[in-house]
Amino acid sequence: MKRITFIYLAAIAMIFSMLSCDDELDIEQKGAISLEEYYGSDESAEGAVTAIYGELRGMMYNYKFLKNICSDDIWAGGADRGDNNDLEKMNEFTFSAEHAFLSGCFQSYYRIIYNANIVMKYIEPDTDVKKQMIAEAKVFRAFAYIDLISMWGTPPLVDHPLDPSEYQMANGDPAALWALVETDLTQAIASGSLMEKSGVNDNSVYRVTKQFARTLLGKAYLYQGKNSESAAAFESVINSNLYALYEGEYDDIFAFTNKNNCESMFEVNRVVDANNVWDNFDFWHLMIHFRTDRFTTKPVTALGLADLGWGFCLPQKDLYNAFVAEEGENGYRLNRTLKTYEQIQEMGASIDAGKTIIAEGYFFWKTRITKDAVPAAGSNFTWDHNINLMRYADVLLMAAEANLLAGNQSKADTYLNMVRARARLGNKTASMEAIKTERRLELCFEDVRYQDLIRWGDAESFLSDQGNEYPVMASNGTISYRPTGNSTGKYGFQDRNYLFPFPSTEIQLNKSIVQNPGW
Amino acid sequence: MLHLVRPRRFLSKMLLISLLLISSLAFSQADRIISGLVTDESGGPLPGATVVVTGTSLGITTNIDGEYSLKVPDNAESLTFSFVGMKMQEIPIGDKSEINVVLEVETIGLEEVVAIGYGVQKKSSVTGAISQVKSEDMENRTITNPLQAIAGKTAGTQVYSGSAAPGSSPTIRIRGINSNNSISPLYVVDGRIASSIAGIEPNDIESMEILKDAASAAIYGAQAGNGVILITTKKGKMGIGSISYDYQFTSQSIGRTPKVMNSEQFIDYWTEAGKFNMDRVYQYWDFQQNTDWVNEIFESSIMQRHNISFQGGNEKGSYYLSGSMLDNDGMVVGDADVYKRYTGMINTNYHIKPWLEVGTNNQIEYYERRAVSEGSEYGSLILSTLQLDPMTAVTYTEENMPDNMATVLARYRATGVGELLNDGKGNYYSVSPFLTSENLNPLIMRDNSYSTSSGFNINGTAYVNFKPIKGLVATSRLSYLLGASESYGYGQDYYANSMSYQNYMSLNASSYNNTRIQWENFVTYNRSFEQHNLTAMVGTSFTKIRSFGVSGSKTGTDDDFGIQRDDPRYYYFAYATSEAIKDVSGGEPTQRAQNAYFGRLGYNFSEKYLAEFVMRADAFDSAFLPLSNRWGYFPGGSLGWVISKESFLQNSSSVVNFLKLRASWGQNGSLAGLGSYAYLTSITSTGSYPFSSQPVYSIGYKPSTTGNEELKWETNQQTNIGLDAWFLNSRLTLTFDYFNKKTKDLIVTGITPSTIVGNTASPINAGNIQNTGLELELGWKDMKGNFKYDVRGNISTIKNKVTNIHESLDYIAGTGFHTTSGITRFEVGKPAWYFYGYEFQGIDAATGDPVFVDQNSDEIINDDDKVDLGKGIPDITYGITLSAAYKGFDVIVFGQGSKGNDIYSCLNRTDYAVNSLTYYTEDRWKADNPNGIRPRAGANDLDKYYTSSAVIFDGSYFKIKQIQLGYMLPASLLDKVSLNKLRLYVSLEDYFTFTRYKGFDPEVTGVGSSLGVDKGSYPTSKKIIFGVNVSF
Repeated sequence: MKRITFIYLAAIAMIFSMLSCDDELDIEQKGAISLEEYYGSDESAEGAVTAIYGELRGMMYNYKFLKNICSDDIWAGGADRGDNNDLEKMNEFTFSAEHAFLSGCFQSYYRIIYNANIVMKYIEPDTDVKKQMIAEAKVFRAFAYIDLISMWGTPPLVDHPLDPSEYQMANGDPAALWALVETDLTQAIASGSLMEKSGVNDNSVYRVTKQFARTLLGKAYLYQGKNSESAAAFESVINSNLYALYEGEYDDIFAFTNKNNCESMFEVNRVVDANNVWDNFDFWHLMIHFRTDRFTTKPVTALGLADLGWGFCLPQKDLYNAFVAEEGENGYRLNRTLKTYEQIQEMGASIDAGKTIIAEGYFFWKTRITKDAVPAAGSNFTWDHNINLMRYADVLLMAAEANLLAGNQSKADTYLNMVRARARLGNKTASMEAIKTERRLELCFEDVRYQDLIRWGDAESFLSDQGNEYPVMASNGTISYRPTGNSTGKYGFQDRNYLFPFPSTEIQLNKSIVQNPGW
Repeated sequence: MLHLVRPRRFLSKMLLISLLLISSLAFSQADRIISGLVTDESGGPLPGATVVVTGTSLGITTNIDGEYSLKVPDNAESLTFSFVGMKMQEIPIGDKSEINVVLEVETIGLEEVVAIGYGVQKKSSVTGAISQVKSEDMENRTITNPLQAIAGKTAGTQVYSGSAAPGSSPTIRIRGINSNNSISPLYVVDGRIASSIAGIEPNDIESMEILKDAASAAIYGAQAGNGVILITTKKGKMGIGSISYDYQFTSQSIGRTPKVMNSEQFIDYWTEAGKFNMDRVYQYWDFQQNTDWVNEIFESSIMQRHNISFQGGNEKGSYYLSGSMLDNDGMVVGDADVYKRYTGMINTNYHIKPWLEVGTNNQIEYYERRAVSEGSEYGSLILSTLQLDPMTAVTYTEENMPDNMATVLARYRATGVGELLNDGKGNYYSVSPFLTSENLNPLIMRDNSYSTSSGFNINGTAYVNFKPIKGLVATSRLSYLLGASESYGYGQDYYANSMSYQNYMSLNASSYNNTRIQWENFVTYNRSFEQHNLTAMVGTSFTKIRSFGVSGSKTGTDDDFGIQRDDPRYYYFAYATSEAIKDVSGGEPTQRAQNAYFGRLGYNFSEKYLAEFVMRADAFDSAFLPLSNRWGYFPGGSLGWVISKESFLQNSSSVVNFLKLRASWGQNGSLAGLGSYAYLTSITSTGSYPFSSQPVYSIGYKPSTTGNEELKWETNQQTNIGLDAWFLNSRLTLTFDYFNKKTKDLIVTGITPSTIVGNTASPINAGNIQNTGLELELGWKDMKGNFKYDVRGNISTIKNKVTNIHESLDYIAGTGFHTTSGITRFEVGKPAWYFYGYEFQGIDAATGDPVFVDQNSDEIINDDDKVDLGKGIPDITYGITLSAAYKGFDVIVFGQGSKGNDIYSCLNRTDYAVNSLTYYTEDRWKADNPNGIRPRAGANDLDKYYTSSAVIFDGSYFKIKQIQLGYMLPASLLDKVSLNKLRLYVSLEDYFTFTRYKGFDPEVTGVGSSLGVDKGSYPTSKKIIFGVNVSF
């Protein structure tokens, strides 16, 4: 009887031992593949980097405004006070951490970083295409971090796709952040996989190039005060002889018909596509174009311009005065950069009688939108303008600055005077003063002025009063200044403005991040 | 032959054959007759008591007068007498020919057992919180779904209905809403985990146990977080074989009908609002037509049920066979809402050897269902009965149809476009000349499309119990499900009004099948050493599920609507033209698997000090969680102290018969939000970019979400403290529980975790919710001579609060109403899915416009002024059941109610001149009624008014669910026709409702994230029932 019992027990034990079914639990998901598997092909690597270009294109509205609206080049503009609170608040330094440009840009930079991190994590450099894509991802990650560091100071350092346990990340250490930027760019350049133009007039390259990477590296060094390294990086771009100052009329540099010209370091590309006009929609250009609904009896179309625009971001008189001081009222570059209202009227356009706009009597001309940029299918709204993220003139002036600070006076003179010569101005000895003036005039309304003021320590002196009043221009050109209504001491550049605040959404979501001082 | 099975002409052939078969199996020759009387302690006769020759299946039940007469074999030694709730007695026969027995009331529950998952336990030793619903709570009711039997019968459960249409299933929540995800309790039928129990005939259920506390439920681990419902189906009773037949005839009709405006009021109201032109009224209204749409569309309808069962057993084995048929034609005119179900059950077991028992329980179900549209502000048949204008008749003949219809008809005849539907007898369904909206003539809604679903499920378990040594039972149990479902439907070309028409024909059909295998092995060991009693159980479980299905549709836009011929005989895919637009989906098998280990250790000292520990380890397949987090461990522990066994209470034992204090703590998991690879990420396209001057784009791709390898179960943690007491010779029973249940790590989707992450997050564990409550079940049972009565009541409170959700979310928006999104919300500090809207302040006496409370005093009423307006979750739910019997008569009264829940009434629309409850139109502001309490007709801000506290009603109700009067025919009469029992009954169900709600039915509103939101749900019918129970 005992034996039989044991047989039963053995049978039961057998049943239990059969139950090791853990393998059965691994059931593959259908209609999906793992990231490791997906990112095996060249096409997937290209797709991953295209996502970065797409993100960059998508962030241009916030990016362009954020980079320019705080400067002393422009007024918020628009038809009337209150036309665009976002622009007014930033122009007058009354914005808070909730500002849409801030949070929009911040998120886009980190999306670019995420997409770049995906490329670096999952793509193996085993083909030429993949090597190029990894190099481009590094360029973009560095591009994003240069802006994040220079504008926010201590953005969290995210160099890989985060796990949920890492979602609450503390502020980054600037030294480590700059090191990441330098490493990314150095490796991307050294990889030999980035594209290069075939010659100075090659306008077929739409991707980031080795030279663009070098200018970013030079800029990163310059921002850190590593002047010799910076000078060397710019030097190598200049010596590539693949870029040159545009020698046609100055105001054609940004023309719709002149995309990717010899002076462009990198442009965010848009194409003419009657079938997909809205895919190329560009809200930024629509915003900064002339306020056309105030030009109805003598429309701006008389000037060959697009017939719809909302008239934001108009030049300050201060900028005009700086031009006049350097070039005189009839300076070639001045006249191709700005137009006074008198000049506009002489050309045949004027504001309707009794109407006003927010302006100080000046209009940007170099960034104007011509009729040919408006596709017929776009019902006025859609412009296929490219957005130029960096010009060779900027490279030359940064090279001049780096060389000057590194003690290479002659090279500094050479590069400064290359830019001046194209502006039909005489030679000058390079000094910080001269370079500052040149950068302001040459690159006004081109994304650099505000950050220049900050890194030079000049922001307070130029901007502390901005936001006290705003100009209103009548149809006859008379300007009256009206108080903005901002309370005393609550406008203009202050100590805290050396850094932007981290967006309030980030502060709310990320318990580990410490807000910048004063915000 | 026994008189019991003497054939009678009135028996059907089938029954006869079955009887003969059973009788030949169960009965052998008998030699002498023993007779006698069975009574209770007070001397009252006990009808239906079982008398069996001990150790055999020979037996009989006592008749209405408590008498029996049984032929017993020569060698029979004793008779065993038993009756539910009484102590069993065994009496030696000796040479007696008459044996009279007095059965004593058993101290209630002491020996009663409850199912606890992988075993049973004596009720007196239970240390968790387990409620029980017994067969008597399900018998002779009209409920078709076992869940309906839980409502009002136990404490600690909330049963919500989104629809009372034939075949619809209620939603049950055990101890509150435990998740932002909608998830039901775990159903376990005879050990088989079931995704639905809708196919189980309530009459086949012996008992349902609801494992409410976490320690009890922990034996089911990762699936138990929302409670567990254990269903034990009926087994053959020891002793005599019996055949029972139950028939039920139900006439059902609409219960409460909301009061809406009649023609005159309607015209008054809308002309006053300026939305109605009297010219049109003169043109189209005959000053008589006054259609009561509710009464036109609902009719009284019939539900019929047949149940037959065969059962019997002896000490070696038992069998229970049953079959049922249900045919429920709903209240909507015609046969557009129908539920038909056929079920069968085969349960049997047999002891092959002293150490080996085999058995199987099987359920078979086939169903067909058709339903009408409901519960939506758009195109809902039920809601349209409240919103249509009363001036339009339901149908018109061609001769008397209004111009607007005649025009449509003429156009249809000329062009073949825009068909007016009719009843086939020349009565055209009306198109209102006054009102154009998505809610149209219900008959058009009923007939413009046809859809039906049907399916079958065959499921059950087979088991082997080894008993190799004393106290040890090893069980190997295989459970299976083979199921299939299909749907078929078509939509016709029709014209209902200028907004609602279809100029093409569409067809759809689908077929799905699923199989499920669950294999469980466990060993139970029971041992007592003097006063130490030990129970140990360990086991494993493995489940594999596979489902497969395809669905397709065809739509034709050409002249012949994509169908060869516009004729229902051609409404199938095969006959569609090749031009028809085709769509096919599915065709991809889904597989799921689960693996688990579990164990239970129980110890008690002298049944006085009780302790139990439970642990389950669960792993689900890779669709649920990543490999690293796959295993979840769910512990539970409970302690009990039977105070009544202490010496200091022994003296008062006649007052306090039993008193037990118990406490438990445990953790359970939940599958909410899991099961579809939620933690993984896939690749998604993200915009395009041109890398040349040409309009040629490259597409960007990136991971759709961040992925979350750290995803884990939602976890419920619950503490329970309870008390069981029986007083006054166990006539009074009391069970009391307090619980505190916290669910943490709620799975939340679609959040931005932090902008630096750079992508949308995969679902993450980011929320907590808490439910606390008190539960009380009270019972009183007594008999005086022939009069027996029983009162049972239960009451539970629930307090629900969301205690945390992820920082990135201020709230999760629930359901919307028309253009207003998020009228319910899931938000920290509030009950789940509370109502959100404007606070109505009153009527501006000057203008008649509604005024709302300006919460933030900014002098603008906008979204910022919306506040908490109430909730769909009741504070209190309760039920009371009274039953009494006197001689042959019995009566049951059962009522159920809730308190503290609100109803968000979405029965109005502001964008069309629809009909409205008179609640909103009577006493409205008029120039001559400046103190009116409802807005002026056509007032400003009515859109805000209809999303404000003005449309929130107190949803508390009390419903008398059942009043049943039964009569058992006397034995003297039954004997002549060889029947054991013949009971006739009449019953009223859902007949009386007490509520302040002005809509259809406070018991039936939205569920889930629209809990308590009424958009015109199919109401519960009131029912008159005639039934008969026969057994022989």
